Amino acid sequence: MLRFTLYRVLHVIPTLIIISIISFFIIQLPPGDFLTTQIAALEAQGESLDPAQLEALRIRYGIGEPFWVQYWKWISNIVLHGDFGLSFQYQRPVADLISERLGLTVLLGLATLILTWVIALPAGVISAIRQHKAADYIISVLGFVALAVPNFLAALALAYIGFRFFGQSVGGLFSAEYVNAPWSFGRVLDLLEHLWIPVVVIALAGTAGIIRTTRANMLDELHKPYVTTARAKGLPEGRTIRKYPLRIALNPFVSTAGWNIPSIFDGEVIVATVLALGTTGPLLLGSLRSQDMYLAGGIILIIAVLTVIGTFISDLLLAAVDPRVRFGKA
Amino acid sequence: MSQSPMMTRRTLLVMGGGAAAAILTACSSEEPPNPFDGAEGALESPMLAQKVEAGELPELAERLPAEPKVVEVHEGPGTFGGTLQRAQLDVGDAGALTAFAAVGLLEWTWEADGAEPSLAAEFSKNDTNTEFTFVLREGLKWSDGEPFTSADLAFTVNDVLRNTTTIPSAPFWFSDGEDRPTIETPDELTIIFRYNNPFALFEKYMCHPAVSHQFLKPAHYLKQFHPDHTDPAEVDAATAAAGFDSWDQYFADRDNWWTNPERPVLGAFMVTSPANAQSGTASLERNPYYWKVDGEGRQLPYLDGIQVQVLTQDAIDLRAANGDLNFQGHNLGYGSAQVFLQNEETNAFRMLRWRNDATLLSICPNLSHQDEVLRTLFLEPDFRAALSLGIDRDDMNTTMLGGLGEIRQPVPTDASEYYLEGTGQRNLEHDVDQANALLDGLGLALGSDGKRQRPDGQPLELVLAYVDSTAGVPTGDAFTMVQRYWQEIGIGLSLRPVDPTLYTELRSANDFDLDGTTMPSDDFDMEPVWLIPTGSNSHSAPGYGQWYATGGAEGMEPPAEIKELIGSWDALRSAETDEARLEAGHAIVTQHDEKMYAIGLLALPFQPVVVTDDMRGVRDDEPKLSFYYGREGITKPEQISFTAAS
Repeated sequence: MLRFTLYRVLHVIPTLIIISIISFFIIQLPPGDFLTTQIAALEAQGESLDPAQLEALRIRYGIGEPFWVQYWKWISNIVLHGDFGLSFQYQRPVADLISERLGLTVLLGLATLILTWVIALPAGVISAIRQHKAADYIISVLGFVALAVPNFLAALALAYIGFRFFGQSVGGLFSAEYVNAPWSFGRVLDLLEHLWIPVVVIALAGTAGIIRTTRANMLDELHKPYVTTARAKGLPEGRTIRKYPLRIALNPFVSTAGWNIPSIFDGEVIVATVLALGTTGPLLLGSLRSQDMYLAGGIILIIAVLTVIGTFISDLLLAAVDPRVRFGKA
Repeated sequence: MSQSPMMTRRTLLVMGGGAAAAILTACSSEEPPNPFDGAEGALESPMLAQKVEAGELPELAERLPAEPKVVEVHEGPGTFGGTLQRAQLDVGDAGALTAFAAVGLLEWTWEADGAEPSLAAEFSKNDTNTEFTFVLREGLKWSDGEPFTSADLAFTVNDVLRNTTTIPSAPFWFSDGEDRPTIETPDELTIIFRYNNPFALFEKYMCHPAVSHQFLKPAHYLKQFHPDHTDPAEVDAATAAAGFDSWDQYFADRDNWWTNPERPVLGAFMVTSPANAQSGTASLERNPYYWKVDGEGRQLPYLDGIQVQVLTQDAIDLRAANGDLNFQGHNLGYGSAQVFLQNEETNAFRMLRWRNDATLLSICPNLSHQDEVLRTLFLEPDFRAALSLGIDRDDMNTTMLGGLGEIRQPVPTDASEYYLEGTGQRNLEHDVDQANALLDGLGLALGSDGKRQRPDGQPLELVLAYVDSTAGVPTGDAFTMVQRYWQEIGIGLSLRPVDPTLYTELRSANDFDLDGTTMPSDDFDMEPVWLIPTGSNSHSAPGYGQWYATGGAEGMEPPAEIKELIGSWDALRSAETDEARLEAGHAIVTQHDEKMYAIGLLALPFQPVVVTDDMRGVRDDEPKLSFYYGREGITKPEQISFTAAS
């Protein structure tokens, strides 16, 4: 196990280096840079920026420098000083921008994840033990519909319903009077009032996959001899299901749990953007669109690192559960 | 409504004797106290009166200048209090400040047709537009209470505007084309700007809300970030600690009135919590030292604060339709006008129709095209005329705007001082025969496939680069229709919708055939690039623009007629009198009208502006919502107020 762990860690380091180079490279691929994006935005509003002024700004931001110079400056500052650089668009340190959004992002991510599991696991089990019965069909249809409806559309529809029938204001996680207020009981309630829409939308969309996996695994196990034996011994049905096939069926689920770590951090880009939530998702999308390269690079790097760590954890879990993986035989 | 419970408590605290008793009785009958009551007769907002009582602020008389500027209130004196709700698309857009907290030595008049005194009580200029003298009001103060004097302007000009580190190359709005201004400050109140060459537009720029404030920097605050005034080692240390690479970056950051709440300001409102924080919402509070009063001597603004939330376009439009935005025109989509109208009554707001000059969708042929054949064609007036005659604008208008749109060519309209009667009407009709005759006359033979051929025998295929957008006239739909019309005159058109960034790049690289863009034209003198190729960001001729901007060192030398256009622009900018300036401007308009360098298609009939029913003081005479006049700022937002709660 120790050898396996070390071997995995050795894999992680070059992967991270390559990811950091690729992500920085991809951000720079589109034509132009942050300043050309800014000009385009200004012109859309009938303003213009003097080209001479633009050149000066380009020098000030160090935008014209060659790729490797920029990359080295960026990555060495992160590794040596923990300094992610300065966001062009916000004119604030990237680390500050991300950290102040982290709380709400993780809250949204965890709430979503928990709701997904709470809905999907029992639904998967029920649709397996009631295979080809009404409950199975209803659950499957609902799960697929939730998967098929684009998230942003569901979010917009719910927002519109909120606006049309309940007079609720659209966008943001707080009402106007709480938005810049210090934390209080009222502010928490206000947050919950706004939080349910994104949580429900994102969670429902994620259920279908888990329902199907759980259902398939359960069906594999339900007809195995040990289940029959348990029944024959006279165990009550509920206990039989919980104690035997369900535990086996959860295996692939546990081994992929680590993959959820990055998704907790990225704050669901599209839904969060549509609803103007103060999470990292809209920050990432905005920074990519405006070619705010240090901000985008910082977020992508963190997500990549978390993905690698998540996979690493999954690998370890799987190895712990399944000896075949540990010895490289699977 | 937007008053928080806080406000009510605050108001209660500041009530004087009799009023307090009245309120207390009101309270005992379990009615919530009216936050506006305290304003009756008071000369300052209850919010500030409370601070004075607590000893946090000096008396009103000490905060106001000797002679405050008296503002004519549009719908009669207002009541103090309330927080105005707004929204915007871009977090870095300081438009809320240039609209609601504009400052300048001068400002636009209510009619927006000239300058009137603002921070400066007196203004004069010499006969040749090279020397401009301002005399400040006595006793003006920054929002932190420090005095505002001519020394602040001297600092701004000498240490920022003339400094080649902070501003490596002077933008057109404060250089006379060659040199930056010098400043002389004989006493605390008098300021004399001098230019080497006549600068006819200086007065206008001093009114332009996005420019005028750049001359007003708080020296007492900013000196600590400037190495000429503070030990450079100290400045460098602070710069590094804040995460910036060079002092001028940190200086620019500290000087940013939209993102740095510590920077003292002179406008009606100051940012207390910036929009780039996690909440995505900026909070603005009234400036206790604001120097304008209404006719009864009550200190403006009437509003206590403004909240600006950063949202997407859909969310902004829905919020407006919900009556959540108290006063908003900028960033509202025309496409949602119908939704606004449907919800006006139920959600207690009204939609006003303002003018927006910048919505005329146009096609600009690249007059400085790298390909000689196309360049020669585009420079041919008959060719441009044929392209214009080949378009059925009425059909486009009916299809896309229900016949409400405005059809004209991109020259100044009657709302501009450069307007010439009868201009902008050429080649608007749909005349396929005439268009074909013109093209035949140019020797562009029709091939067997129904497509014309270039003089060098290649098929005449043009590519139109544009940014897909539905904010105004939907660009994709409009250009698809043009594509169809031009088939009839044998001209192949390919559409190339591009990303905004790529669009900008294509232009600065002079690498496009046709450019599809909206064109503002009324105030072209303050932003000439739309009509005159003054830089590589030109939509009509970036090659010539670069030639002009670099003094002939780079880019392409323009032909004689474009040189004439540029010459008129130089004459306008360096005119010694208003007559000479108007004459040069009219020459530009005449040339544009006759030669029709850009082909106008269709403009939106109006710009929707939503105002909730509890607001007063917002003008309803269809003023222009224009960047040059501070957008919503044209209604002088310091004098708008909430009606007293009933």
